[in-house]
Amino acid sequence: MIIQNALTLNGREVLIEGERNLLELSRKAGVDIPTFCYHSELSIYGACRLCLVEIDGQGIQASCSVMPEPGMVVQTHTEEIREMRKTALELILANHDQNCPTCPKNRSCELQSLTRKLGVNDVRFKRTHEPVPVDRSSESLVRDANKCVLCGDCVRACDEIQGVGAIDFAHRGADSTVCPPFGKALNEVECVDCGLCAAVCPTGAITPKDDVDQVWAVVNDPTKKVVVQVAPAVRVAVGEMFGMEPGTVEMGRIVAALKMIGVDQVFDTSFTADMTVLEEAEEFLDRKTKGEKLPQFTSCCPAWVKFAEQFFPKLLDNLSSCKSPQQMFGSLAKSMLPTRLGVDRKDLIVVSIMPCTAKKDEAKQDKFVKDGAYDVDIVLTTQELARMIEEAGIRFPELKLESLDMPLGFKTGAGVIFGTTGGVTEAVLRYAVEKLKGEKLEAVDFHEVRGLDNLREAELEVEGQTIRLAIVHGLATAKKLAQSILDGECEYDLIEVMACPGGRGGGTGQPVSRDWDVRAERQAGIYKCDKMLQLHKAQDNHLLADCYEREIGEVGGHKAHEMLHTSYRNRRRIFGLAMPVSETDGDPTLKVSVCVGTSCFVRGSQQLIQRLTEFIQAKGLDKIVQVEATFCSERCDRGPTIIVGEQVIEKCTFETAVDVCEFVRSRQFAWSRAKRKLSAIDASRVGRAYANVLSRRRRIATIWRRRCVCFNPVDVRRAASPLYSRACIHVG
Amino acid sequence: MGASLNIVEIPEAARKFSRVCEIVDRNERDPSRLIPILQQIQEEYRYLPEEVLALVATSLDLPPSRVYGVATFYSHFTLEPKGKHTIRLCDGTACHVRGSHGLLEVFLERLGLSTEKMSTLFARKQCHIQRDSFST
Repeated sequence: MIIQNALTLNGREVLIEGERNLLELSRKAGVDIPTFCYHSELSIYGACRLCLVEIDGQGIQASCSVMPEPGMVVQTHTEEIREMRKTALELILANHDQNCPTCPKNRSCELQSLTRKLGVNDVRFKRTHEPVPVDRSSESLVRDANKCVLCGDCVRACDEIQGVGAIDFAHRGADSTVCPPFGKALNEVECVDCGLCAAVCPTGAITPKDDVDQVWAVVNDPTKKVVVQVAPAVRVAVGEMFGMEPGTVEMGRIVAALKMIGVDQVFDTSFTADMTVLEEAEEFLDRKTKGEKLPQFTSCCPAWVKFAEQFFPKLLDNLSSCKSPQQMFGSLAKSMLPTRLGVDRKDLIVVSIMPCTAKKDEAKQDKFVKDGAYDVDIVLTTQELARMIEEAGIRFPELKLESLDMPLGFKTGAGVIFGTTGGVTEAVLRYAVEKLKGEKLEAVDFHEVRGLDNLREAELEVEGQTIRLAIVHGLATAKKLAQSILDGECEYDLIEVMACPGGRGGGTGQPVSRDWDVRAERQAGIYKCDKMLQLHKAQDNHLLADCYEREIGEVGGHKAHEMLHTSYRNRRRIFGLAMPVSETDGDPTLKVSVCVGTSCFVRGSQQLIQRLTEFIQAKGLDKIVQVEATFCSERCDRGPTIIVGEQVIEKCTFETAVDVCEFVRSRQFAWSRAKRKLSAIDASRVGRAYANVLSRRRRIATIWRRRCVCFNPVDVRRAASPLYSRACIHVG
Repeated sequence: MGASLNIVEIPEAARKFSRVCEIVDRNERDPSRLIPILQQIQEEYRYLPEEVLALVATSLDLPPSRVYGVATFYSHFTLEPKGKHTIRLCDGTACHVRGSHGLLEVFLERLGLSTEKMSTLFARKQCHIQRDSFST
């Protein structure tokens, strides 16, 4: 007799309870069917063919793509299936980089573990692929195509969860590979460094970049003082690498381990998270009162910031101008610690331990360099911290607890809850609501904003004002939300965006886990940490108030803006592609580049190119003027943008373009004569005489600059660099 | 397997930016019509230049990696310029045993190319040889 809604798995009855495929059903029944490409959060792909099962009457099927039906009789490990799985693994291993001991995924690699579990003892096939070079171009991620098993998880994660699509399959058959388009390196395309690809990759094909050696170098350098900031999310996850339960707060042992490794001071990023709450909440209240630049988007997630700079230039004004807590810490530490620690600013090294790979790229941005040094010098992920601890031979679970250093180690619960999705919003509310009410806030928990759904909305009534909130994680959801805001379909006041699913708890730098339920446990650990602290509101952090009084002044004041706030720019999404639109023989003397990136395209750069080309043909100028279409001059909200010679013209119309072309053309004619003279001079002088030439060029460059025209002969720019400047004509 | 010889004048006048825009507009900027769009562009340009693919990606609101993936998957699409004249030489079993390889060598000799350079594209006005696999 068949029990309703059950099937037979390996001879046993199993109830069907709404699982989406046989694979999940069998996991529930205690049988782990092996798989590479299946991931519970991604679409079903069926590429790896490891999850085969035999179904009576249907033959051998991939269990990830079969719906469970009542009455099915399923076998998961017949002899035929086991042979097929072994052969599939052998074929993968034949072309795989089998150097496991030196691979960063050693011991957490799915291929390694399946090879052992399925009893593959020999690889009978010879290698046919030539090794390809490793892509180390990105600050955050390392891409090694020799270890790729073509499961497609990274492609689907980047496309479905993050809405970016920086990598995809290319070519076919034995040449199939996963790569950025046109053979470009990862930092030349629209990758936002979130690292979700590395988090879902079952092998070591994409991994976070390893910077541990840099830290060892500075720790062992007697002339340097090393201070470390530890992010909230790290403390609830690092224990997992040593066999402890996810969610146990291990801050005391982290401090002990770091001190043993040889760092000088260990501080807490939650201190500057409290600081971020003050700055951002004040900014929010200011905007809310004036009713401008709303909704305000949080800016502490660097992957989200890069995403916004690339895809949503119109929303850059809405981003909070606050730096992320990591960067605020770097800026503050480099300003106040050198005197306290008795060291020069250049000998102070700030290391941060983060759950995140995008922070590696954030720290290395040009805008965060001060006095020749980065505000944050090195970023390590949770995984790298654990590796350093192991390398030192320290037995983490047996360490005696030690305390954080003061004053930058003191925090309230508001700073700690940054470590999970919804935390930033709740922390800001704890400040804003108290300020709006004008009285001490006792009920500090805002359960409306907690949870793990990737889009949560809440509305709060405070003193007659409505505050509409949205909390988002995963950039594809953020993209949809941002688009509906631009289309005017919904309205919010404050929006928190985290790129990683689950917020920082689920960041790529956290210990590898194929089971995403671990995010919930880490989140619970964060809220527990908040409860165990005595203070829960950033405004109650008296050491922070001290710090403001002594070092910074007013919240949101002039010095605060200098140290703790930043600005955003447009970013191009792909590098190095330009398309000549007109044909010229020989050397054209005037180059006109018209931007056809999305924003400019939408503003009519296509028609501009057409009209320009017709005009040039009509005037017979096509021998000397070359028009090309380029991707992204990074002025997206001020397009269409064209570059004539070296002049950048924003919001360009056809008439303006023609005017500038004619102006530059007439100057260029005179300049080409001067250039010929200069090259004659150059060829005949060396050494001291070069100085004469330089001064002559400077004079010429000055004359040209005064006439608001600058040229690109590289030698002039080099010689006259302090004087070189681009002339920008703003129109309209 | 067959071999093809292209005697080439790399087209100077082939890059018409406006044609690309026309083609995309004619297909209503519909991302699901990516393959017909690429076919029409290849007909126009005789190959798929990278910059054009990036432009197509921008105008269809698709990630460039997706367009690149489609363009490299189908053997009909080529990302390297093809020549004006194509000589297709069959190297299937029957033809091979009758001496197609010798014919290939004669061609190469007459055109002044060596076998090692067979799959490289030169500057203008020289030969482009590519291996095309089809059977007769």
